[in-house]
Amino acid sequence: MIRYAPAYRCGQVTVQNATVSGLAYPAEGPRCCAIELVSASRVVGMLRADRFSDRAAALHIRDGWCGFDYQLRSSDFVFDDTLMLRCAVSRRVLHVVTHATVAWENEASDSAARQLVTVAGLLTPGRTGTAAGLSRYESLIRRLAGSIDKAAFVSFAFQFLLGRDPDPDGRQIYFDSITSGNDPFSVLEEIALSDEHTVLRRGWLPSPFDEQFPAVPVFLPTRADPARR
Amino acid sequence: MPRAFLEVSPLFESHWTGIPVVAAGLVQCALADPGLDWGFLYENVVIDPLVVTDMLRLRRGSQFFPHLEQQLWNGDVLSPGQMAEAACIFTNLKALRRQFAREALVVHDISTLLTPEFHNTDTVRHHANRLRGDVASTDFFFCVSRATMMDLHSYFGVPLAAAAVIPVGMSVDPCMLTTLLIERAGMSCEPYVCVLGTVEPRKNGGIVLAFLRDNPNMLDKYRFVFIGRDGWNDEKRRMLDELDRLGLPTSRIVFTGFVPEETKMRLVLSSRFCIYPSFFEGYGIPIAEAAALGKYVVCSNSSSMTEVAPEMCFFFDPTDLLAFADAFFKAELAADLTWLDRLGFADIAARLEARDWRRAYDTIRSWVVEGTPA
Repeated sequence: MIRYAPAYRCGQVTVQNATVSGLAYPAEGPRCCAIELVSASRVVGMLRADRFSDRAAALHIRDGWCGFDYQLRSSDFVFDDTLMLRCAVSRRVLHVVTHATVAWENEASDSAARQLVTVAGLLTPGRTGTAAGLSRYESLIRRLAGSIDKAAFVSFAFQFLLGRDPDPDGRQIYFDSITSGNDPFSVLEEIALSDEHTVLRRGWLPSPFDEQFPAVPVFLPTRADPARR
Repeated sequence: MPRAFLEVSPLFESHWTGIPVVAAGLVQCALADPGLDWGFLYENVVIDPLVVTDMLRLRRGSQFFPHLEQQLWNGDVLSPGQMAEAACIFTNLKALRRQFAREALVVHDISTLLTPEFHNTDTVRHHANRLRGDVASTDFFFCVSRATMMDLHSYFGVPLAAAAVIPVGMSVDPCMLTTLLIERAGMSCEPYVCVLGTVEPRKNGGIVLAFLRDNPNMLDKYRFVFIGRDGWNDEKRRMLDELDRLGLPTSRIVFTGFVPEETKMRLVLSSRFCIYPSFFEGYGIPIAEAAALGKYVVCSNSSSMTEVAPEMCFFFDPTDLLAFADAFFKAELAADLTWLDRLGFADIAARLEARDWRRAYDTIRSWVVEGTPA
């Protein structure tokens, strides 16, 4: 389970409209936590605590990037009336949901409600986002701008927003912009307004723990993080 | 604590398929093993484990070449003395020979020598010029299949006592799997069949087109989706020309090119079944992946492919179109009769657990520590 870190804390867990949500985060280090859903000793699913959470941001935890939410399904309770949420690394139990306490009236059970999808739809799944979503990354990106050089930051900006390396012109323009004293975050805001980001990428932005997120030291490793020996 | 090195230059590829996937599987186990002092190398340049971890997360490595330049500049290069005291596992070809106290080589296949007609001349020359030297300077061989081990024995005279088969694993992110299964439960997808593997001559995609020429009604029934990056010898262009010549409706045949792991798994999960028609493989990771996800595979019976997941395969001779058609219709019938293609998380997780990389890693670890494979 090298992808994930043991949960140091888990809290603010709530169950509303058959959705369980909360925060889970490691003590430190670059990896997020993963939560196993366990029913009668069987793992029936696993989710990442890598979503942006306003609550976590307000508490200044991991720049807000430690939330999780999961839409409960009655099939999750086939083996037992309880569903245990536990850390996928340490196996520590974080929360228990009981079937009786879930408001099931909103569950979509009718197979007719299934969405019809083509192969083209599978190749370009419904990832959508908005430039406004960039604000969620602001504190993280400002911290990053202070820790890597300007050329690396421009490369990061292109990879993050456009999924590619900068072209020579773009590299020079934005490098000059930062060197002349412009706010590095404003560079990202400018690129985020481009057609390439809004139309081709449909404004989608990866979580800092996503495979698509560029390899930059956002959450720095420490000696306490065993996978980062 | 024993000191050992993994030479992991395949991780620096921009797209991970085959050899880099095997290297990554071994590396992730090595990183999680506190009982062995592993170092990671690109030739004799030491790679920071932080960089290796980032590569595992991103599943690509081409952007990390500047790190190697920096390491060279810093002088983070193994000295002859350090090498002389340690064991080293080379995960593909060897850039260093007879430098380490003990040297082992992971052998994926020798297809460049056995089936040179499917490779670029440059690639054939590259391998032909170095494989004999690599074999002669190696103490032990870890082969990804029994077929590869027997090829090494037959063509290079490697004693079977100096070789072992490592059970190739799979590394699927359970969180991603959960997300995709939930997504699948909420949709009905048009019927389609996946043809797996890089689009290159050795993968034998042409047999699928020949089958469709004889059975054009199959294109009304299914879309055919070729999942894999464009390989060498301009095979995709040749296949498109062939489609044109046969007058088959190109709208029913999709070439995805390289797709991220998540997209590949999404496509396989919702397919009716899969096809793997390759002429020759060292192992055949896509067969294992499809089988673990509960998909039947219309699979070539050549080289290593019968070893991978025979319980989920309908085999055919890759040179025999009638045998392919027979296997295709059997797989179609099996997919229609069973619910295997709708396996849930717990069932898939159990299948993945049986293909954990630790089994391969333990074999190598045992050789490092005890001198013999587990």
